[in-house]
Amino acid sequence: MSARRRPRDPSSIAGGVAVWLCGVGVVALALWLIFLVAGAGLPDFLRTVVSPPVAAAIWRSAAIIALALPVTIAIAFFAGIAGAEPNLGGRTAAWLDTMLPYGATIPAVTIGAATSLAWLDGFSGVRDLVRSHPVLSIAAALVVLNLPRTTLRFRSILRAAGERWMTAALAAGADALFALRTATLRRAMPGLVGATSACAAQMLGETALAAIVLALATGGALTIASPAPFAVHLWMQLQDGARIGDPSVASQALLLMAAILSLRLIGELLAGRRARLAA
Amino acid sequence: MRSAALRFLTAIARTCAAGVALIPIAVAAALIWNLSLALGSVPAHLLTVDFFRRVAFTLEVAAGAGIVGGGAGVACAIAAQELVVAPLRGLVASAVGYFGIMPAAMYGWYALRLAGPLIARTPPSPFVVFVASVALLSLMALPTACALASRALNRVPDTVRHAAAAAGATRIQTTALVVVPALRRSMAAAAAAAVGRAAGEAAAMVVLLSVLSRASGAAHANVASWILTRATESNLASAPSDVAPSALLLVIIAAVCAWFAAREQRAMQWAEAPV
Repeated sequence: MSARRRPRDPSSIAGGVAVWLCGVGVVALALWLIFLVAGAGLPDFLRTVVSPPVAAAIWRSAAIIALALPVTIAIAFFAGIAGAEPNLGGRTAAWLDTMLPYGATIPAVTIGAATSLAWLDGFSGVRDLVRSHPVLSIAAALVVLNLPRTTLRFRSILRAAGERWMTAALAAGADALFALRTATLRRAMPGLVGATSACAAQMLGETALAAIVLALATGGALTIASPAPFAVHLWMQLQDGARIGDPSVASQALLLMAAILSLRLIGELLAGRRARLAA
Repeated sequence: MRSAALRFLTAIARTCAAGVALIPIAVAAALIWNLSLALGSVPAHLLTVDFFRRVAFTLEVAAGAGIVGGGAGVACAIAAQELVVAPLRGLVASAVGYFGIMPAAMYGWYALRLAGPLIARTPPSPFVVFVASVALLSLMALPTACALASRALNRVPDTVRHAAAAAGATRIQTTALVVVPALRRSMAAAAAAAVGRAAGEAAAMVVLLSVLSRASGAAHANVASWILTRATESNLASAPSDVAPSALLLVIIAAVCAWFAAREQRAMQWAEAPV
């Protein structure tokens, strides 16, 4: 019996309407939240951006991303290649397949705790290094946090871009390196650029891990005066709840959101441009 | 014969892949090692009422967020992929993407901004604390569930939809009677991933729970927010052993959720090679 002849199931229609409303509701909620932070943060925006503590926190975030991003991208890129191309990955690819879902879902606070405990149990030289270079320590911890997630993204992009092309190139007699360079990477480049931008945005917004490592590096309780990256600087002001009415805090929230959205937008624009060039 | 460049690339790729694969093992090993160093004192830390209260609160709010946020994420995925018209489809994806890229500090700001005026009138009851926590975690877990559900929906071959349309089914009927029933387990896996995401959230929960705790006069914390508070308000080096059991518990919750989600994604109908 065809679906047309069956009596129309009212629950399916109600479910469809509910799902549709949920999608529209999420859009409305996101728009409302954007307008909320924009309305509260815009009046004091310029003055907040140029204020010394905020500018210093932004520079620290930029330094952390400049240190952590290239290392993360380089390692994740090669690991992604191993995961995407069984010819190159061998048994390691299967092992990576098994472990990646676990690595990508470990909470940041757990990695922060484990990293801190490992450093505390480690050599005194490592402890001294952490104390003397908080920015470097936060960057190292961010590499550990973001490696599985970025590798997962890179592997998916490389797999999706190159599977059939790689097979065709290998069948035509090309070696794996040539096929990877000419078939897979060229087609995957837009996605890889987008994933790199997403990784930078993730690093900019990471709060819990950076706060834990910073507390370890400074050797005590975090305060507003601690040399924190931007997201942690904002988070510490929110913690006591007393400054929620402060327009400067709203401006910082708006700045953080704008920076992250800009990073994602730049990534998508670059990805789109590269996609047109690669076509 | 393999060229030297290819051998070099293979060696680098395998080394990097092995390093990445080792990360979850290394995290768990560091926590277990720290736990074993202070084995004598751990039972005392584990058996406190506060510890069990934190674990119970974590599981409650994570389950709530899995149901609400996971359900909403799955619904958004279905709406974006199957039901809404093309312009709105992009809007739904962008809205979910906005929730996905928003950092925890921003969620904290929203939580304060929205919860502050509400609790200023009346002190929050435990139920209000639960609802506020579930609402916050649901928003944070929604993109995770939506991404997994979208991936499952993308794997449904178009021929299935064409066949349903040829049999006279409307788009809603195709979705409700063909696509969703076939992906029930994948949707459950998406909700489980949302539970894992919600259980590990710390920074935004610290902001929300600190305000609610002050207003209600009773301490509220989930495991992750307690670890973050413990690590940032006092020197972790003074008594590190009490953090390891809690952190290990979060690893276990995340691993169980990830295992369930990965298993269901692999075993789903129309599954291809894992992407």
